[in-house]
Amino acid sequence: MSDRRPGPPPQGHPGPPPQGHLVGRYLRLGRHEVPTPEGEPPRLVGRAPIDDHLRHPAGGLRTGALLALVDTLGGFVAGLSILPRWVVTTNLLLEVGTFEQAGPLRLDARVLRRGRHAVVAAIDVTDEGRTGPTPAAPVASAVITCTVLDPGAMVLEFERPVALEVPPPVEDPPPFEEFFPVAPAGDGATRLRFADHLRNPWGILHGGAMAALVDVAAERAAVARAPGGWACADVGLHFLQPVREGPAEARPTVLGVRPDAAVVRVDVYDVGAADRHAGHATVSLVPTPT
Amino acid sequence: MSSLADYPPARHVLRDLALEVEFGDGDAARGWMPATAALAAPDGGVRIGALATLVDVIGGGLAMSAVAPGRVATADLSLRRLRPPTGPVIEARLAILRRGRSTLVVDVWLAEVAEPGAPAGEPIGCGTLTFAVLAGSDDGFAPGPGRRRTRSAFAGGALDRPVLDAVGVTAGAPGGALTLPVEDAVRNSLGAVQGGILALFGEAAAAAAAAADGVRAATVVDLHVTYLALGRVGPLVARATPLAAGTGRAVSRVDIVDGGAADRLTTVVHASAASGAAR
Repeated sequence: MSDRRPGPPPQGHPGPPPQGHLVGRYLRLGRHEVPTPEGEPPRLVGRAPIDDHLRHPAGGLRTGALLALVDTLGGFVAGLSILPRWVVTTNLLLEVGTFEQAGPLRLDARVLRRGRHAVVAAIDVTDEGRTGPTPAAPVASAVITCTVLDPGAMVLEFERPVALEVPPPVEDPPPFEEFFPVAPAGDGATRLRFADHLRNPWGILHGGAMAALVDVAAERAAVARAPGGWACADVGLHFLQPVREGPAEARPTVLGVRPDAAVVRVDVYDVGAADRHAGHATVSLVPTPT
Repeated sequence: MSSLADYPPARHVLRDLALEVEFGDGDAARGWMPATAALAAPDGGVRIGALATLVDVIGGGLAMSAVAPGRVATADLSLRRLRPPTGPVIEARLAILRRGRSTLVVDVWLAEVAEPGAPAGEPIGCGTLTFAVLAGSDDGFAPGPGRRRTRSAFAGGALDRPVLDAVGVTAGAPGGALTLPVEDAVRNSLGAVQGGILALFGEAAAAAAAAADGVRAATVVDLHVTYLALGRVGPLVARATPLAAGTGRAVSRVDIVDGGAADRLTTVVHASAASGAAR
């Protein structure tokens, strides 16, 4: 069987930085650890505003950004639960109930299952700015599955309980498709340049970056098939192989358009690594006002 | 525990579904299920939970063949219907996408055919399965089907009533929850509720939640099942938490717990339901 391990991080690699990875900082994710009874796995509460440059035309946080938040927070709670080992995400599922989101978003991450080889975590997303008859109803829900790995030389030291405030806004933040540098690649494909700030502590492409690529590629495919507004509402993403070289190229296929959604399959390849099949996703996109 | 050669027993829902499976084609396998009225969702097509049962059975056999003498456990299952499938027969084609040390990812395509082995039309659904690879054992379990192409049928009776009634799904629990007794007719070879039946149960709870929210002929069209623990004691209880509405679909998370085992969380299901009413 081939080895899915991402490989040892660079010697002395600092591991997940205490101030949060650059992806988390761009999305302005704050995270706080919730006390749990002895022997119980940790729980985390994350918060993130919905900055204007991250809003989808449908109104809420664009799905690729939400996927990156879920991957970051879910992976972190999974990793904390399995110390001194660490984790890498293997698959990610996100369901969005509504794009009518005011923000800030609150993400509650808890471990559902902690085993020797894998950790499964759930993340419920609520909108702290939501009003109306059901303000506490989740606006999204996610499950993340991570493989447990030997961290090798990675340094895993965190001040506990974890307490990272929401990073302050920056002046002129880069647009979403600039921070995650995507561009059309011909034949309906979309490419993501593997910039250094998108490298995770394992030295491979950050899972949130692949998720962002899938979001953009799926939306472009849906628009090409049926012009109008579309937003990814249901994403199932499998990380098959780490992207080590880049660029990462997403090749979407529209499988059909139902009355409620367009269904798109997206396969991601590591172009610089002999087109290795790195990711596989299926996405349901819902029509949105343009 | 029974040997795989003795599974499923004579009276079992998998026999009632009249499944037929074919292995031995390298890293691929396929199977068939008649699209009967007992499997119909409110939109008239085969329920996505029934499709999940077909897929789970084929996928389990394919995965076991791929990792033998190791064993596998289904970690998660995702399906999307592209349109209401009406048959006459549903075909599922599975192929291994990724084989790793601890997990296996399988690609799923669903189509309608006139009969098992006949040419398939355009896809009516797609999905994936993930399996956790477990250590091998010598507890009497038969090895996987091997490389020789074999086709076998789960011969048995036919469903003479809706499949949810046949497996015992019941409404009326507090808070609108559904219950499912753990009986031999729905057990897997480990004595717990079979993975496809859990998917069907989760689908039922999500559809009920959507109907309660006013969705006409609520039909689950996207289904994602995460398997966490075996449900052995029962009754199992499925509680749906609707997500905030706003995409034109009714989306919910369903937690399935084992009511006879201190409400142990066995499965988490995420489902999107749309109206199956004629437009």
